[in-house]
Amino acid sequence: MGQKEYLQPEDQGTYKAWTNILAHATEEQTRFFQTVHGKKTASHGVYCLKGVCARVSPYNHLFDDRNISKSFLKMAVRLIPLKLRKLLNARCSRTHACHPRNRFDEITVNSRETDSVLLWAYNSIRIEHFTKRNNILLDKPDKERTSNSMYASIARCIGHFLIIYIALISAHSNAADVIVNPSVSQSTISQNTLRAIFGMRLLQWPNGEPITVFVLPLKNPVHENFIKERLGVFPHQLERNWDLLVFSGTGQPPIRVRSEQEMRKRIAETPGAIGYLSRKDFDENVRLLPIQ
Amino acid sequence: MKMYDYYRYSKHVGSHLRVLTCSLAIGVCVTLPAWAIDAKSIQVHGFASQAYTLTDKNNFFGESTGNGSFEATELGVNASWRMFPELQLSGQLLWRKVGNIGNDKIQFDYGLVDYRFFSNEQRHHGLRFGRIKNPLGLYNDTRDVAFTRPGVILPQSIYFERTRDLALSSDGGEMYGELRFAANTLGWELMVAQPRTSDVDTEIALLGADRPGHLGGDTSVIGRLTYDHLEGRLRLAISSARLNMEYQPGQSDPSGGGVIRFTPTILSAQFNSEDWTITTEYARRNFLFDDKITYVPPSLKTITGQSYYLQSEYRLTEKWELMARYDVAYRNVDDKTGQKFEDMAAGAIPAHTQFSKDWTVGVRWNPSPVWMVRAEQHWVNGTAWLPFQDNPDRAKTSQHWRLFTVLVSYRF
Repeated sequence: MGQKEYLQPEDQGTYKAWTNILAHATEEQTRFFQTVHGKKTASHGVYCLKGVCARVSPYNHLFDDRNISKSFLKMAVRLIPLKLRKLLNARCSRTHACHPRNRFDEITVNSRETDSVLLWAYNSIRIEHFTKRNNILLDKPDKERTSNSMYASIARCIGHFLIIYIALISAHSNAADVIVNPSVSQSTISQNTLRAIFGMRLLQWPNGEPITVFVLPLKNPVHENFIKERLGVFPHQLERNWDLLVFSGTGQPPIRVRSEQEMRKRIAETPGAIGYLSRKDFDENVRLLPIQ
Repeated sequence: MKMYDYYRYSKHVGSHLRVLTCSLAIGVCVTLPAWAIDAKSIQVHGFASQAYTLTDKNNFFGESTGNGSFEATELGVNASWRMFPELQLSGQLLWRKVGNIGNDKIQFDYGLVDYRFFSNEQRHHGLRFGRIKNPLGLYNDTRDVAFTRPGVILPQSIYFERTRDLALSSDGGEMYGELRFAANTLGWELMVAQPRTSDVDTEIALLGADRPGHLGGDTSVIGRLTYDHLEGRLRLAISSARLNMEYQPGQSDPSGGGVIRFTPTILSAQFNSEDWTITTEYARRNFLFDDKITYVPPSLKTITGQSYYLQSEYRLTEKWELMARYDVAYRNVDDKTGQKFEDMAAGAIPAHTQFSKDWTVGVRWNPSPVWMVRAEQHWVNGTAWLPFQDNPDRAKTSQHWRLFTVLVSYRF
């Protein structure tokens, strides 16, 4: 079924558990998983697995499933940030990515980390929740159990998994996007120009309008992710270059905002402003500026 | 009016002007934060640093032997106003009490008008007028800001403390520009200005003591060419200066007057990865003294100094960084051991004043983005960059010495 291509579990045990689930999944379920795993979340619609339905909307995640209890969701919301923090803390020590006080919605993870978090969440939830409630273990399917009840459990499990996954990738897996005030007339921007703007070396839009640059605090993971992924440089380089401008009197640093909410607000009210947002939350006040 | 009186007079007027500009600038700085709230084109920043220095022999930054010295305080505040994208005004006031180097008065560090007359996505060109930071090497522009330095003290072989005023900023004009092609940037700065030599320290450094005459700056040229790949992933620079000064003899001055020319050339390279920053710089410094200046012995009228260092910084975590550096300076490439110099001075000035080799290890801790704590240990062989100001009798200095220093710095 080729599940290896889209699943990269961290350890063999989890992988085995996962193959067991997939082995019992229908073609429709596999396709659904592939669709979601391939991050094609922009497609609207209600997806159903046996016994579990989830409605997927492009940027907001909605849960619409009679089988998913509120307590399950609460648990998922409680557990996943914990694990994410653990993971990110491990990453922090290498890349200075994050701060323990970061709120869940400010955490940015790459797809590989999402995978491992989900697999972990799946395992934890399975152990904590399903074993208690249904008294079954999925990685050692009991042949004597009736296939119906097992299918229901597997399907529910996949469904939960997917919903968590949808929630995660729709909110967190991509680097922040470039946002500008609607007064900016450019339709796209090159990475080199973007780097010159955030390096505070290019100060005007082509039509002569002054550029106002907003950035998040240095230790904010959205900031770090944006600088690394979108500009292709390291945050410490930009900090040093900004300091050079400030303390030699030859330029000005960008304006620091405390949060993405503030970023959005300031960009909306400042003509010629540029910044970034990790959530695809655009309207007539702030515009997405695609990178060429 | 006699020449000497004229110079005294001009110094007097100069100090009044300085007081006036300082008080004006302070006034502006005090009222600025109120505007800055709604005017995002105005920004005010500053820093404060305090260091503790302990040496086993020789003094560095005050009387650092024995119980150590706290005489290393740096305070600065700057304001910038980008009136239009093409025009920026900026100025910085600096107060520094570092051993016996410099005076502890508020200095006008820089104050300039920056006019960028051409700008598009590929390049920009502009002009600066006023008191401008000298574009030399990688660190000179911001050498007094602890946050921008790679250690508590800069590599002394190139960024001498004792002639800091000369290297710091100059009064005049500068042309600059930048070409951007793909991920690369080529920047240049060319400055025609008068070096700041009013400081008695420059006189001490160049003429050996505070002489009765006056050392004035003449029109000088400083230039720098920088190649940048990905905002400094790789940065290469060549900078050079031709600093012209003139010594005007004072009353009953045993020496005649004449021109002193200082021509440093610095090659710089820096590589940045996520965790590492590797930096190296190499400098050659040519000195030329007029024959009439008798404070300098004939054999030292034309000398070439040489310096280089290799430095690596490693970001251990987001809060901790390590640094190691090897730093070498020779005051005269024809006399690297200093033996000829010692012979000439008949033993009065030891040979080790002519070279220095400094091994440094340091650690940096960032408790928050605005606070920084640093500690650093130096093992030094030689006293080429040891400030005379802290060690008036050079015969009493020691060749092998150790320096330990801790610095706390705040910025806003």
